[in-house]
Amino acid sequence: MGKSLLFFFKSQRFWLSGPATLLVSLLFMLAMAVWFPPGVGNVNNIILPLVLLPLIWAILFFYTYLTTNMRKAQWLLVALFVVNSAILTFKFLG
Amino acid sequence: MDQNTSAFRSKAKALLSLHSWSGIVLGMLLYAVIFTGTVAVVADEIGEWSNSNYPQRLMLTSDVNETVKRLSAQTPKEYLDEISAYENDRQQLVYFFHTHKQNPSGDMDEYGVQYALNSQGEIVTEKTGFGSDIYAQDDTYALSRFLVSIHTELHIPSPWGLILTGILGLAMLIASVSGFMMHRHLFIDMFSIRKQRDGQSLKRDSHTVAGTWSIPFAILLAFTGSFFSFSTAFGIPAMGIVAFGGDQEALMYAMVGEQQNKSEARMASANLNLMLQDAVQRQSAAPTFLSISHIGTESASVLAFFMPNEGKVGYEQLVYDGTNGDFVEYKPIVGSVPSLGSSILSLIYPIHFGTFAGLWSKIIWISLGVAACYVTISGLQLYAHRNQKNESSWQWYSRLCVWGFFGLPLCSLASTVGFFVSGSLGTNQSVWTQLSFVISAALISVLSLSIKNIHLLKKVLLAGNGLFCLILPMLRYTTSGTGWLQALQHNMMAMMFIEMTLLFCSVWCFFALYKSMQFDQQNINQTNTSFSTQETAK
Amino acid sequence: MNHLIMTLPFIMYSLAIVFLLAHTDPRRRQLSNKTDNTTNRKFVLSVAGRKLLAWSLILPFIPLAAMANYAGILMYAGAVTVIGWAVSELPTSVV
Repeated sequence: MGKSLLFFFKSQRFWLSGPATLLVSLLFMLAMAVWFPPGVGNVNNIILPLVLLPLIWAILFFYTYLTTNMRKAQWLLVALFVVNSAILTFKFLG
Repeated sequence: MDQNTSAFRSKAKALLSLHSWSGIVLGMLLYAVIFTGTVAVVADEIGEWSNSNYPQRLMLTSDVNETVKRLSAQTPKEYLDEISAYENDRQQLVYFFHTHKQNPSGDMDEYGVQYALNSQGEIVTEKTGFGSDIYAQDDTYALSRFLVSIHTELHIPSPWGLILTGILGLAMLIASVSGFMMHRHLFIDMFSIRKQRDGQSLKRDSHTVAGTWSIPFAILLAFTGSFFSFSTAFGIPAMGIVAFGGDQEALMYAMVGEQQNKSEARMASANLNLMLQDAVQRQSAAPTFLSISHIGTESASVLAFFMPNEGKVGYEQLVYDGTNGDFVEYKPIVGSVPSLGSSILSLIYPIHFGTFAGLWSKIIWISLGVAACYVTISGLQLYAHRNQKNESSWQWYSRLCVWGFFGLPLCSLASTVGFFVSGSLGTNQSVWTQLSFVISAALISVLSLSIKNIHLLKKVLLAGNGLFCLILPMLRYTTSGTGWLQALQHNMMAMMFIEMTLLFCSVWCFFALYKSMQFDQQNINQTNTSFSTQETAK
Repeated sequence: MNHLIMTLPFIMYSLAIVFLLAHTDPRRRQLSNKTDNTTNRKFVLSVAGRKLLAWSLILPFIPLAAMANYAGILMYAGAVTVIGWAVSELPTSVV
């Protein structure tokens, strides 16, 4: 049991599909508030990211969990992380 | 080709392990959320039933305008910012005069004086405090509030409970999507449940068939549920930080769709009764609640909230100009003008709650909940059953399943008994409803650990559930004195519905008990006959 | 109230269709024949016919949408999934 647990935490896929996906989808949601058009009601950029969060997370999760090309998945998450962090940094510092 | 099939197989294997692990780790908590969610569909009905009440339409029969004037005169000025009014489940009209400020836990809250008036317009109770505190201590909703709170946050302090239920929603999403993806013969096996040699349905087939049919709504409910949890736990404030630079008040005004810093110049307000009459005429229904803002000023406005009506699925909010009583608009749920966000929200509410067409839609949503419960139960039992045969160290898991599946309904029923008994003794119902749940949970846990035979344990808990379902209507009658004849006379649909559901559940429990007894008897007979044939062969 | 009563016939329709689909389901029949040979089933539908029948479950959405009965649409969708499950759970002696 102990060994398999160790193996579990050593597995790259666990870190990719677990914490990394969660972090990236949260960043995606927050950054969306910046670039999503608020519309005439001025609420679309708040409501839609919130609604889409479970969906974005689910898509990223199933992709990273099932893909055979781990490297590609890794780079996708890194790219999303960088782009969304850049948007947020620009918003708060720019 | 070979590589393709092996990749497919490993993918199927990965999906299966995802499906089972998401179920095994979070399945029991997920069952708790789904079960109480099914109950929460009829939370309003449970509220009415637990108080033996029926809607009096007090907002239409009493003079709201005169009452608001009278109460305004005796209420501190700062609480006249906003007045909300609704009819509670004890035939009282509740007025809450309040302003908005941060509560001790740092959230924006309502603060002011709450009056409960009886049908003659006399003040029955008067409380001052934060809106969330007053609601949390209101005995009227002790039972329905307790049950709904298990569903929304499992009674874990905010925001952790909400985060946990949000994660459970995601787990349910994973389980249903992976279940859908790994089933290759989805449409072929849609109707077929194989039988075991002893005549009972194969658990695996029952699980897949129920799962297949409930996939669309399982995904929808899980998706909308995790949205509710996450957005209330951290989503909305977090978005406020990004979109409004942390100005929570500006965020609130954008969501509510109101201008900040309204004119506070004194100006007489129009007659509230006339606005109410107009709203009722437009909707041909009684409003659920009324919200009067900035009364007596230039920016006075009145909002009447209605449940969905005439084939619509969204809530309706009618806004009136408080100074002249003119109808202004149908206000969207969020923001000041109709938007994509508000129409999506107005769809998410009915899809998740099932409260868009009275009892009819609620019955269907309860059935969806029962189906989802069945999928969770049968899935976990499948796992427990498989491991029960192989390893004795997994015996505890089967026991845990029985404890959870039969224990939670029993505890909920026991908390209802606590509600009624404490009500008739005149003690604090909010406390005793919770306490009875905890006490019965402890008793059931002890029982689950002490009864060695797992089949006997199952039967004892099943009998307990049946008995409590049978007792509750009688208990309600003895504590309130409102019988079925009176209920029929006053058209108390909600109360009758809950009563009938309880009786139906009771019959079902005893029938299941009878069936399992019969099944055991058959097994004993079979082993006896095989034993005797062996004897004669000798 | 009216729009709720208008939804009921469609739900009854879906009950009938699902019942028929379950009755003519080849896999279900194959399994029931395995355990019980006495069931007499003369009514057979072609694969195309069953497909058509299954697709006809979508038809009620058209009149419901035309009547702007959106509550009815949601209720119908929910009811179909519950009915499907309930009918599948019925013993083979019934369906």
